[in-house]
Amino acid sequence: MAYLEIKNLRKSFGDNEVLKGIDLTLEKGQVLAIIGASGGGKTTLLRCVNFLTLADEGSITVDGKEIYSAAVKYTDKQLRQNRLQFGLVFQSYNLFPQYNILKNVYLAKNLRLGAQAKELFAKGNPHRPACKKSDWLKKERRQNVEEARALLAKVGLSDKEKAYPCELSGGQCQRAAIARALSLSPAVLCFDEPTSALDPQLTKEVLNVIRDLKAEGRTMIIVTHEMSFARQSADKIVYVEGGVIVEEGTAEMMQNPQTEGLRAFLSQEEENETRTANTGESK
Amino acid sequence: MNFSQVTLQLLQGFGVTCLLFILTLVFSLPLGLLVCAGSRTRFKPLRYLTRAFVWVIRGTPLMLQLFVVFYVPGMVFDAPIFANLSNGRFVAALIAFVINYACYFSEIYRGGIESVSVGQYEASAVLGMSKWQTFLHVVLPQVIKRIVPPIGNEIITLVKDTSLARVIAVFDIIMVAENILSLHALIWPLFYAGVFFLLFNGLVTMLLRFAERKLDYYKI
Repeated sequence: MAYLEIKNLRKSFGDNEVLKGIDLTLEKGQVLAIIGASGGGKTTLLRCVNFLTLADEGSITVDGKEIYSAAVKYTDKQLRQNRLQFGLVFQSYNLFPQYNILKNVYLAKNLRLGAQAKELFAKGNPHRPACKKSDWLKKERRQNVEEARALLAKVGLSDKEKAYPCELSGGQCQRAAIARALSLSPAVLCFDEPTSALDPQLTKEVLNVIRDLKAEGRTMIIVTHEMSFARQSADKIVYVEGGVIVEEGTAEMMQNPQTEGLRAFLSQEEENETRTANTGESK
Repeated sequence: MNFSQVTLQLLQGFGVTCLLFILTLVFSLPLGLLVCAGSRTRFKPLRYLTRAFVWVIRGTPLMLQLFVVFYVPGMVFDAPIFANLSNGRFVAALIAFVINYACYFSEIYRGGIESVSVGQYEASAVLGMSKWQTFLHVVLPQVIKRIVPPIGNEIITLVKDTSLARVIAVFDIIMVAENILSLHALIWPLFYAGVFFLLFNGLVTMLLRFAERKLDYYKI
């Protein structure tokens, strides 16, 4: 059984069927690139995986454990627990503007401590720590801050931990957002067009971070328009059009597309890339 | 009457004005949040009821509302409830002001909350935050930053609106000045009363500026 298994995922908005039965598998440590024209359902697929919208049909399994099935009615709490299997990096970063980068990274983990402490220090819990609850919280909070620092170091933002998002470049914001998505150690990290809002130079620094994460053995899903990145770094590429996976394979698929749809899409993308490259030079 | 006697009397009235002002803020700022929750709830009957209520309160004169709060309970229970209390007139005025300002504040809160982008909610959701945590730690701080200027506007209006309380005979500074006018035939204390409002609003403006500067460490 594969590490991540997505079975027959379907999603409609009113009469508009956006996902028409998506099946996907991914092994641990692999990188999956999802490509396709806008409106094809790529983003909806990613949003369904992260429970930002709930799929109407189908199931999602991670490491042998079913974390979502359309047939099951989940409580808010269960969904909140299960979605932590996935992290998501947004196109528009969505950092919290009122907190510095460091707090952006550790906030979510700190907010989980209250519930954890309540459970841990419940009467009759055999694993109840010997220390006082307030001491435990203090220790955990300090540890979360240290972990956040380590994550910022990993994405190359150690010297910016006190900076607010408004003081950073787009590339720095996106790298901070990646560190934040890693803070809860998700099994699968998802990216929704992480470089679409960035210029080529900043795109490079973000893609480098993603390459580093691949080298570490992170399992990742990336919705992207960066064809060369997909070609170089993805272990698996799927081409989505009209709510179905039209073609899937490795980087070779890009050299030798089997369907008319993918062929047309690739030549269109290539044209766009040369055009951006040309305008970039003329500046 | 000389200047210091007038000042002393006006100050007594101004004490009532200040008390009305501060108590109105203390109660209406949180109540506005509750009204705002009502006008945003998914439970439709409550939502429409709240919005209709806000419409009525914002759509009618505050002076009229003072009369309604003061007289209607007496008409309903066939006994002048507020008039029988020792400071019943003040309480009636306070209730009218709190309701009126809570409705105005609720609309400012609503605008503030709805201006927070969907992305902030989604980022909080994928990080496993509960709805309450998202509101408290992500949304509310951004709302506060956004609403300080419009809330400040309302607060400055409230300082002056307190003078409406005299229509149900609350002894505020304007009422005191009017009394001096009719008893001693002196008009200048009435104008002098305006100076109290002006100075007080100067202080309020300074405090608001301070709050805005404090929140200026980040951009949304």
